Amino acid sequence: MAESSPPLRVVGAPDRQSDWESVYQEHVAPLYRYVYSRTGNTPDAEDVTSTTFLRALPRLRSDVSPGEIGAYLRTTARSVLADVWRQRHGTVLMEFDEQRDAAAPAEPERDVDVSPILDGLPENYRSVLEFRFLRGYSIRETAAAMGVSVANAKVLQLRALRRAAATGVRDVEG
Amino acid sequence: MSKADRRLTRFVNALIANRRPPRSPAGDDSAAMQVATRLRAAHPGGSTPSPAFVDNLARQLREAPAHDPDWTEAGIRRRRFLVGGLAALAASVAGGVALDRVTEALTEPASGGGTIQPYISTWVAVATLAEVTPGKIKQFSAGGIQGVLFTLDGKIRGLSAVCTHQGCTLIPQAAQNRLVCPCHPMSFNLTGAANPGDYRLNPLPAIETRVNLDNVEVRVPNWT
Repeated sequence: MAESSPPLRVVGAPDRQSDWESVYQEHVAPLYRYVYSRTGNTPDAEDVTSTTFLRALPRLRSDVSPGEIGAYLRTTARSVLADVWRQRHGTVLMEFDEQRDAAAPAEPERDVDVSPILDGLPENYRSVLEFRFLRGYSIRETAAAMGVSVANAKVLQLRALRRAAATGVRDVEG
Repeated sequence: MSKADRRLTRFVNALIANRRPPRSPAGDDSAAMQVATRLRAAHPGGSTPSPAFVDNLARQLREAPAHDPDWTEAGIRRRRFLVGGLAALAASVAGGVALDRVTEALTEPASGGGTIQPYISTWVAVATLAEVTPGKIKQFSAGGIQGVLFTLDGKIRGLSAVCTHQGCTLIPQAAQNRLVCPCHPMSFNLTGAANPGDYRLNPLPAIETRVNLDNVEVRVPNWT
C-alpha cells in the first residue's frame, strides 16, 4: 500500500523509520491490541486507535527507535482513553501503571490473562463471568447453562463483577 | 434492581454486544466496570484490528494535514506527512534536498479554497431554514468543522469559519456581508475570498450544504 507515497528521507537521518507508513504498519496492530484490552469493544478500540495515530504520528521525530515510538503511542492512547472515560463515566476507569507500561517490551503477542480476576472467586461467580464475558453467552443461555433462573443469572453477574472488583483488580496485569 | 444495578447491567450488555458503553456515571462501580472491560477484552478473537479499519486509517493518515507548528524549530528533525499534491515534493525530498528548502516549500500557501471533502463524511443538520434567511449568517460546529451558513445569490451556502492565516475562528458580521478575523485586521467576503488587507490569504474552503425538510444540513467528517 506504500506505492503512492515515496519514503520521506530527512537529510541526516538516512534509514531509521524514515517512512511513516512502515511505522504505521508496524505499530497499528500492537497499539490496537493495547487499546482493545482497555475498552473491550470494537467501536471504542477503533476510535481511540485512530485518534492516537492522528495525534501522535505528526509529532514523531524521524530519529527515534521503534521501542520509543511504541511507548509514545501508548502514552498518547492512555490520554485519549482517559478523556473518553471522563466524558462518559465521570471518572477514569483504569488506573494506568505507567512504569510497568514503559518497562514492557514492544507489546507481547499474548492474550490478556484474566485468571487473576477469576481465581479466588466462588465457583458460581466464576462460571457466570466465564459464560457471559469469555464466551459471550446471553443471559438466557447463561441461566440455562448454569441451571438457574434468568433473574438469578442477571443478579449473579453483577455480584460477581463487584466481588471481583473488590478483591482482584489491582493484581491484573495490562 | 437498584439504579446502580441497571447502570452496570447496561454497561455489561453493551460490552457483550460489542457496542460502546452508554454514557452514565460510574458511581461506586468504576472498579466493577474495569473488571467487566478486562474480562470482555480477553474473549477469544476480539483483539485484532479488521483489515478494513487498518486500511481506512492509513488513508486518513495519508490525507491528514501536516500541522506540526514546531516544524521550523532549529536543529530538530521532524517527519512530515506529504499528501496528494505534494507527491512531487516528496520525490524531491527522497532525492536528498536540504531541509531548509523543504520547510520553505511546505509553509508556502497552498492553492487553498475548494470544498471540504472529508474522506468519510456524513450529513448533519445544523440549522433550520428560518435561521438561514437572507441577511443572516448562522454559525455552526459539527464533525470537527467550524463553519457558517448564509444565503448568497438566492442559494444556501456554507463556508469554513476558520481563518486561513493562523486558524482563529472568524466572527460573522451579517450587515457587512463579511467574516472578520479577531486576531488580525483581516476579513473575508461571502464568496470565501479574503478582502484586501495587510495579508494575502488563501480563500476559505466551502462546505457542501443541502436542505432536508425544514433543516439545513452540511457534509462534515463522520468522526464520532
